[in-house]
Amino acid sequence: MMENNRSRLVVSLDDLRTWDALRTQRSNGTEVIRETRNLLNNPMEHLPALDKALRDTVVKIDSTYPAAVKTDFVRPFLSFSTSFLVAYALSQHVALDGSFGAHALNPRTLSARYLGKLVSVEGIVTRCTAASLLQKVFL
Amino acid sequence: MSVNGDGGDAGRHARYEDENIRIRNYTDFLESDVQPHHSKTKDTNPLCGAF
Repeated sequence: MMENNRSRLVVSLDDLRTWDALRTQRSNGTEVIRETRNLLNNPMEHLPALDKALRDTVVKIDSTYPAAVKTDFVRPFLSFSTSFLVAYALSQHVALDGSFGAHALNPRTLSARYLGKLVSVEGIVTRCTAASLLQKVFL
Repeated sequence: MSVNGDGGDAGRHARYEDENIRIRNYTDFLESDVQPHHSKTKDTNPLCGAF
């Protein structure tokens, strides 16, 4: 990621599972690490932590790397709020791949019981439209 | 003072501690040789060269 000056790191859930098992083994069973399960069941709390961990790791390796350098270039052309959004989009994030287990779904199996969970949905896109933000105007 | 039953300062501190533990755990994972090793074999993970 850093060599290619990219901002997204692909993390395999299989690697995370291996690490969970290693950590549990290392603690001689006194501590059971279930970060993969936590990430799948409670992504709202765990995904930002993983992103933050990635940013911390990147800064530890190369403190000059953060994407703020890129936003400095575009900032004069954008409003403050837009540059903030661009800075967030360009900062380092994590993408997940690997085995999602029971959380690997298709549009037919996607149901309300997966609300708030991390899922992988596989299907064929037959039609798509541009997403636009709902804008409210107060007069 | 407790607001919305969140336990006030103690609850906030506990949540902050939890967050720190999570970040520390994931940092350990990213810095461990588990993830980059797998990436090298797959040759799709661009961060592998950074470690």
